[in-house]
Amino acid sequence: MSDARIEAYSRALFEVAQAEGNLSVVEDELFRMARAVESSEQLRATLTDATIPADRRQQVVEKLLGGKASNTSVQLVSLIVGSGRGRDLPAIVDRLVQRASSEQQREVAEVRSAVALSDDQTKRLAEALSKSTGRKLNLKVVVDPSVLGGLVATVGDEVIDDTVRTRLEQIKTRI
Amino acid sequence: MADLTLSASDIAAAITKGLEGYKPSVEARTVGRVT
Repeated sequence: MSDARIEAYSRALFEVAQAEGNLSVVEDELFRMARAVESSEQLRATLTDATIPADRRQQVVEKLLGGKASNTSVQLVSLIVGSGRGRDLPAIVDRLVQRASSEQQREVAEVRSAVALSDDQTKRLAEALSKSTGRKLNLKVVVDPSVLGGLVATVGDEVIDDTVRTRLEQIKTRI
Repeated sequence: MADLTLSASDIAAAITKGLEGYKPSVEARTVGRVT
């Protein structure tokens, strides 16, 4: 999809979420859905399969998010999938998250962790990252078992990598 | 609403339920012959 179209979809999502008064909830839920689409081959294949009728693909979205996410998020994901833009969902959502963060004068910080973090850990991590980068952040935590242990944080162009995976790779290089 | 968590089993269950009863239609016809 062209950048202009991704921009247009993300703007539309932003406007709807803002009009519904739940932008911060929606951008967080859509971020989680986008990461699920990225990490699950099965989900991506289903939501982007043009041979499956749009209403069946939308039904998958409703089964997955219904009762767990806000109505606005379910409707917005359903709209994108029904329009045949499921493949672009992660790019559209990432743009939306950037837009929502800019609105609050924050920068997106994506943290990948091997295990889920508690609320307290997330809060302390946000404070530490904010202090070390000198920026106000919108922290997004992604549970990613491939990091094995530790954390990798990406803030703009800056990557702070303290993962077991990277440490093992460094040892392998030295050997 | 609590934080949204989507596990692999949630995804598999949603796909199974969402596509329940769906049968892809397959068509085949000869459109040419290479000799």
